[in-house]
Amino acid sequence: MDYSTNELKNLLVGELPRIRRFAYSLTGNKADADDLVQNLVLKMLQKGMSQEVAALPWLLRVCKNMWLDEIRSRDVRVKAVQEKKIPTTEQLSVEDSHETAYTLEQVLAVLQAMSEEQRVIISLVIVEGFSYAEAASMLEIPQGTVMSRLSRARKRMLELIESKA
Amino acid sequence: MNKDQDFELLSQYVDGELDSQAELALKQRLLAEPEFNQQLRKLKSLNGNIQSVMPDYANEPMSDDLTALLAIDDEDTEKQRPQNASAWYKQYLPLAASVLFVMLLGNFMLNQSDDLQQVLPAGYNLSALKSNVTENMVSGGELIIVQSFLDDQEQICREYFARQQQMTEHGISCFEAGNWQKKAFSVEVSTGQDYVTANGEQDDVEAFLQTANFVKLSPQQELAYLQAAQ
Repeated sequence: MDYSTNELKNLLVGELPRIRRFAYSLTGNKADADDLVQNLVLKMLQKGMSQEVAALPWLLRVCKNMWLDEIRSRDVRVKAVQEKKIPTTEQLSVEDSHETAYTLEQVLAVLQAMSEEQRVIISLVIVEGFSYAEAASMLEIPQGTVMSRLSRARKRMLELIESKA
Repeated sequence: MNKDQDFELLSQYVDGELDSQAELALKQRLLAEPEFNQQLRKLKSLNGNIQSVMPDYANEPMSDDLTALLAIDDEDTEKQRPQNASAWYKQYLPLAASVLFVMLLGNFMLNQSDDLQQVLPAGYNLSALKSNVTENMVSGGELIIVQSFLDDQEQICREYFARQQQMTEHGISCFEAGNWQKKAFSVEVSTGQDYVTANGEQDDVEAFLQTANFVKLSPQQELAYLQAAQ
């Protein structure tokens, strides 16, 4: 059974902060994230949504697929981010001997340097807190693939930050 | 285990994906290997930083277009589809089953003694050691056995770390005359959630270990002695 339009609107409003954050972590900027979320909402209201699926995972999966379609059609994926300058250690602020706080620019730059599939997994697991099993189900890939992609992404991010140290 | 495997293991640990046995083994390594511990801190720091750069959308208004799209339509006369008996059955039976399962699980959890036993390997009944180890702590802590050995009286002794909130006790307890006796211990207040590796300064336990004539036990020997001690 599908949600009624008003039920779906209420559901979307409730989940909107997480959907918007997910969209931001996918797109890397607020303007694209807002466009993506608006298109997602429009699509869901037009097509409706079944009450028998887990709402948030379903919405994030549709959001991810829409973004992948978007960048394929635009063909403007900014590959240059690989060369994007990662801020140097002078900009590092160290809170204490145990915890390193990287600058906003550093973290955003290394996030942008990740492949699309790595960023999706980072968003789902690190940002949204889904388990590997949940992320695997959403992405329709084996759980082991989630684990290895995420580990490789983390390693790469640390390497990128430390290579500029 | 190579560095890539170590990294993957830490990555899983940070995400809470390890089972209790693997987590226990990893914590033992964190207590013993400063480099491993350092890698964990980097990973946790990276996680925190990634989360912190995400905008706080909970407090950020929606665009006008989105607000208009999501406005509730008071005139909406759309009716819910009538639910027949079969639909009702399908909708609520799983819910009832879930509630029953949660109640049974809750009852089971309430009957567990506390968190400590859960981190110990299966087959180890260490309630006596636990009460001895944690006499300075409130219940519900975490006990990590670092190693087991025989003392010169051929009695089993165990080096442990017991953590409760912000307090960590490092100690040695030996099974003598039917009871666990604490031989040495040192209590520290820690500020973070990390497992603190020995920092080069000897505590009372490390000093005790250096002077004692201990024979380290293999896991199989350890289990046999523990079973005999029960």
